[in-house]
Amino acid sequence: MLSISHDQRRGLALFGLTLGLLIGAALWSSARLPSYRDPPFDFSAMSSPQLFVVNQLTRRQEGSVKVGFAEAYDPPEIGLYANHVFQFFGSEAFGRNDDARYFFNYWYANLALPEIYRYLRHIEQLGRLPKKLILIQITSPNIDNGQFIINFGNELPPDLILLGNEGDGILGKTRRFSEIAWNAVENWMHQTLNYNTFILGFLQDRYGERVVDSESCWIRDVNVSLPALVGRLPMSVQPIVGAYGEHYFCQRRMLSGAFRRDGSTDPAYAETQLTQNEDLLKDAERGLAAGDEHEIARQMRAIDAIGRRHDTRLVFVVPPAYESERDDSVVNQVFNRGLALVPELTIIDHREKRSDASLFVDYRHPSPKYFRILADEMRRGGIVE
Amino acid sequence: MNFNSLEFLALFLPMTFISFYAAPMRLRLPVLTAASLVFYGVSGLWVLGAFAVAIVWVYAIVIICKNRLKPLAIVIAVLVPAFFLIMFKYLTFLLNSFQAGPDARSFFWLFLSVLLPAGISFYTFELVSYTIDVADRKIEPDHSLTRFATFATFFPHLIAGPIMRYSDLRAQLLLLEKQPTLRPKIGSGLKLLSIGLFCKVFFADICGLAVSRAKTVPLEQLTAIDQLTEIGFWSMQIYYDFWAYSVMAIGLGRLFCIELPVNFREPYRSENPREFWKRWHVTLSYWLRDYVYIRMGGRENYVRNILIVFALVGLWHGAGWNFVAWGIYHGLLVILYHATAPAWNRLPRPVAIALTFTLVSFGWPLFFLSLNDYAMFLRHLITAPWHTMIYQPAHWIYLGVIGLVTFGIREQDWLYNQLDSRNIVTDSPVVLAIVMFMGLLFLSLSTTFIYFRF
Repeated sequence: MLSISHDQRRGLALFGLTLGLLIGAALWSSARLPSYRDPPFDFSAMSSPQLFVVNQLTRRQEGSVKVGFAEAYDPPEIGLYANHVFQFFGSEAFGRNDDARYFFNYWYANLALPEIYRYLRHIEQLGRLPKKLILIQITSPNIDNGQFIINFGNELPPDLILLGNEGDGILGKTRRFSEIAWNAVENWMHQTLNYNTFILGFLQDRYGERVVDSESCWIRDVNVSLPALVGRLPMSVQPIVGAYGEHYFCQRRMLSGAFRRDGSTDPAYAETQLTQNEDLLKDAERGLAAGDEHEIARQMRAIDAIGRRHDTRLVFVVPPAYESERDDSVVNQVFNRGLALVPELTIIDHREKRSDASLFVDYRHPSPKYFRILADEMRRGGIVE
Repeated sequence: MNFNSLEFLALFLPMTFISFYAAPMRLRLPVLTAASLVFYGVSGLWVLGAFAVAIVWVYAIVIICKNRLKPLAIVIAVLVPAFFLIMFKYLTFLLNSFQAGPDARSFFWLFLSVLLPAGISFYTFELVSYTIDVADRKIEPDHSLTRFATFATFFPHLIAGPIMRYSDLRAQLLLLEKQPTLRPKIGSGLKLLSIGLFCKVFFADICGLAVSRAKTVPLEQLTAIDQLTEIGFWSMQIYYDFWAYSVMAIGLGRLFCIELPVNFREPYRSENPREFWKRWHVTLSYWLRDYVYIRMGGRENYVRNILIVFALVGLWHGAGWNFVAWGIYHGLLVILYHATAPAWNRLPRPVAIALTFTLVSFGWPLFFLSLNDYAMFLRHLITAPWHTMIYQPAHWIYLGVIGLVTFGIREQDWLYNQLDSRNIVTDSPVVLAIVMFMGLLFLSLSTTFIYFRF
């Protein structure tokens, strides 16, 4: 039995009430944020130089822009399902940047294989899978020390998370269901109790048009510049001091991460530095361990089955990281074992292209030159025309 | 599971709290043990299995050999936890040190590829101290596996200490088993939890972000002021990371009527390196004093014993030569103080504190850098220009504020103050709720506690 003194009880009531009010405010703020899934944003209606600015969006909203488009609009011939690692993969790699129907890059956030599977299952149910080719990017193990390959990144909307992988037998199904349910709760909590969500929920409606024409921004010389002090504040705090308005998104730094018509982002606006071996692959921070090879293989097979069901070619791509020879890292070895379990799948493994600096924007992100090489290789291999 | 995760704060903790107080008296300890195993098992079933085997093994061997706990029996009792510690934590270090080839690595693949079990150094030391204390007849072996398992697994101290002795917890566990009505210090528990969380996020993690700013620039481009600022951020990051965990652990213990010892006694206010180790990670220092230093003869061969003990301190913190070097560096500081104590003790107090803090701070980069990188870091510091490049006044102001809290305000006045001397700010439930909410909102910026790796 529990006994609490009168004094403690009063303090606890005050503590609980205040915390409850604040959490309530966070829930309210989160609920105010507009979803870009409904109504969805139509990328194909953009013109080539236009950009969709994602600054001052929560990660969930940023993802919703892509999910909403995938749900509501006709799929391209080639669809790339990826995370930030392939964000600079644009249609120019195929020499088709004038054709909005040819290629679309559905990348967002830190999607891992289980999330890409759910994403695809969802699109499959809506009948909007790409027509000719599905490209799946797998995070190369040395990029994030084995993270974001089979572990969840809390990035998908809850209804997509609930599209779980089918388990084997009652035990497998129960285990899978509890994992998925847990992920859905975890995901919701992370999105709601988040400073960015909290602040933006109050301020987001102050922003102007998100689609900007990068060229006319500079030509019309409406490129706004903020006072230095305001500019140094966190992005989500700037509107508090009045930094918003019609041309707010014309600032050059706002265009970092902005989506182009084909869903990719423009490396010209990237603010990164190329550092070899940036991830030190510390033992204590590994994201893969012995036994995970089976999960990697299982997830890859589950994804591949989606393509097979619709006679759509599906290819996995493992990109390089800008590093020295680190093939013997534990995460790399676990990953190799996983790939060895699925010889029947089409996998383009480019991890050995690690040493040419021109193929990278930074340690984790390959450059447009790399994507041209990748597209050429696919063309030579008859994967694309 | 981390204390600084929403899963822990919003789900695990409330559920465990309700289950614990709703359970009948005889089930309180099983509930705590089960919850602690869930807490630990989230890291993986392999590591949970190893932990459970180590507990049952030590419990059984100590009971079986309780009248014959001579050195051989002690070795047998600690064999299993020590084996896990070596295989999970030190194997890579050993293989690298002996330049083992691919065949050896392939042979040990299973151990090499399993993630380092969180808190393995902490629970191994607790199990060893229990065994030795029974052998020394300081305590009686506990025949209750539940009670013993609760001692070993109690989740607030499981992952990053404090390193508990069985004698510290036994009486409190007996009370939980036998006292019908429990009177937990919920108010002070929540206070420590809120403040610990806030300081982890806003002190330790923001210092960590500031350190990572320096990582975006090659060492050759850093200036001396940048490097010194980076050292300052490292010092505060490590301190507040571990301090915050310990404060949260004490708060969590209080929610379950368990009083855990204070592991940090304002160590940066120490006037010399010896005093620093009486204030920093207190339970580790006393463990090593009681079970290593005194048993080697203590002051009889002071220099040798201190160097061995501090090399062990280094190895305990991490499996790498940089950690060994860090330990020996501290050993040398203690020896230096020992040799110069009459002069050192005459220094004005602020000077002695500043000197100790500076010497300690110059050791922290070894926590993050290899020996080669540290040597390069120091070499560059000597030759680098004295202007600033990556750090700006805002960073120094921030560091100054943390310094003010660290050096200027006594914990007894705001954190561990008694009920009759309430602090108008830190004892206000409204302020604490806001502090907790701020911590929760910014958890996405928060990183794993550094000491989870030890």
